Amino acid sequence: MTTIKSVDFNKIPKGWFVIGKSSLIKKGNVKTIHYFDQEFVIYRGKNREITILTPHCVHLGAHLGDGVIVNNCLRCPFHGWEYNSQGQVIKIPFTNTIPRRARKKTLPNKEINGFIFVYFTHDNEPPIPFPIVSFLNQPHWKYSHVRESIIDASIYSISENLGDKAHFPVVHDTFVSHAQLDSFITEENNNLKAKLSVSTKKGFCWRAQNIEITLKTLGGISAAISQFHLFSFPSTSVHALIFITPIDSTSLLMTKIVAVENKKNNFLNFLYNFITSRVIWQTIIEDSSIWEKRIVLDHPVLSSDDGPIIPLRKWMAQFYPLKK
Amino acid sequence: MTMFNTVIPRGWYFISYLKKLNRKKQIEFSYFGGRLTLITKTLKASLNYLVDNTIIRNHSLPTLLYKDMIFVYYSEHGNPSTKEEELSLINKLISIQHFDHRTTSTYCTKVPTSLFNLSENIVDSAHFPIVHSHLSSLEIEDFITEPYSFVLKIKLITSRILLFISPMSLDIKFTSMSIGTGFFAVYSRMIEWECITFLTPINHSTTQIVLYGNLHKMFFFPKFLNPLFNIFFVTTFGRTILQDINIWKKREITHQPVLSTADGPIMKFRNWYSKFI
Repeated sequence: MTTIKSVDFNKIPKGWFVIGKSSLIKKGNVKTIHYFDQEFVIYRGKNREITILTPHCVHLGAHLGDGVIVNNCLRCPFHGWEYNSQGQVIKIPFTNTIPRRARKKTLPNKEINGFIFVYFTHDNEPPIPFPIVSFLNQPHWKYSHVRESIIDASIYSISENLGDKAHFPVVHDTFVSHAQLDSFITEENNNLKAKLSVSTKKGFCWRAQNIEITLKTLGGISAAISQFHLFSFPSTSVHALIFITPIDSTSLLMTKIVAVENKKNNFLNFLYNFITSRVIWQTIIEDSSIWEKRIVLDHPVLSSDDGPIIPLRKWMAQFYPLKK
Repeated sequence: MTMFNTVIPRGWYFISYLKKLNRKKQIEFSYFGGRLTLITKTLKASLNYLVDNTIIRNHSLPTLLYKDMIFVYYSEHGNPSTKEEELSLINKLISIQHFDHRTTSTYCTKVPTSLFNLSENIVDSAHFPIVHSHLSSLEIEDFITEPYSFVLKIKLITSRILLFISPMSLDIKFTSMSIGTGFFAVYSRMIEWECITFLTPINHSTTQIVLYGNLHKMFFFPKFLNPLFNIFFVTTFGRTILQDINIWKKREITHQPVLSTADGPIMKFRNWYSKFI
């Protein structure tokens, strides 16, 4: 069984990650991308299907990022070997014999709601269930704000924030006076659900508020959705979805989507979206200076006021590779 | 196998023509990842590795003068050349029949790639029709390795555009001979053209290429056209090499490449090459 001591939290965890919007790669194009501390080649065939594979040809090591698309396959620029969407070589010029070893590792991927999701793992085990984000294709939700930013932090630092209630009034003291973790449970599909009550300061809005936030992870630790009610205005529900994708062990791509309950009023939709996005972005900026320089201690000294840091680590351990 | 791209193989390398150098001076070159100092009068060469203008290692290198050409023997640990290696170089140089640099057309360039990438290219017949679209195909008919050299027999099927001959393409047979890893002579009896290629590593990722082409007879064309054909052949040959650079820049030398029946004698070449590193 995986224990906290046996896993390496400094490595990249397994899971489904967003590598960008669908517009990242156009039909018939090939690109080189850098995620998970390594290079990959991504291409979109004429049938619009996306394939992501390791970058060097199994033959004589040419970089496939300079290849071209031929009949939904990627053709190596050096000797013309053609790879299909499963990473198998299906054509070699001037011969009909294809060696059995002629195949490359591909990353499972899905394209949903205009985002490209990729499954990354250190071993060859099958992917964990794909996270279904229901609100993204529901008409009664209005999402207009999508922001992608590169942040200098490890994925672990950001994920631990889920259970670290004690940092809220200290780091986010501009608008949080008190935070309390009401529940912290593991749900079906191994997702984590936390309920948090945050008391805002008076200056944050025209009066102090108590906001109940429900946080839930989706398919690993790379995605978390939070749901809360906006106050003071005509009451409305807000969803904030954050995807974090490691570029390497110290930096990551953060994709933030804010969706509000559709008020059938474009101005109100815009206003709620704008305010919520600004607040979430403000909290990320406040945290990022800490994430940048922090180290992960194997044996942290914890106080009674801390959140469920150890249970959170225990849950997170399942996604991390073992220490060597 | 991964050492192929990072280690400069030992062997004899061409440095310069003596007549092109000032004979009264000590001349410095950037070769083999360091500063090669050559005293032209005595033909003594030494290789210095500098860090912050301080010499951290220095060793002398054996030199050899043949028909005004200066060769230097490089070895990573400064080991001297064996008599066998030296004789092999001289005998092979003598065996090149029309070796006369005064009638040649020259092409010289520095390419940002390792000596291994350049050397392996010559036996990698399968990439020619893909990367070098002006060639139709290239077949390797024979590949014979000897301790310090190899002989490669190639049949090149040219595309129509190359020689402006329509509607036929043309088969030209070439024989390529290497001496160590830094020297190739390619010649064709059919068009009586010979190209001598000197590859000298500047460091493990940059190599100097010097091509000398000799054309003696070009089918039925009058002899005064030879220089024009020669320039065309040498520059085409040089440009063909340059077309591979983009691929070499990002290439990863794999430990166990997956090879197909359409490939040239890649592993046989690698086994031969690995003796020099």
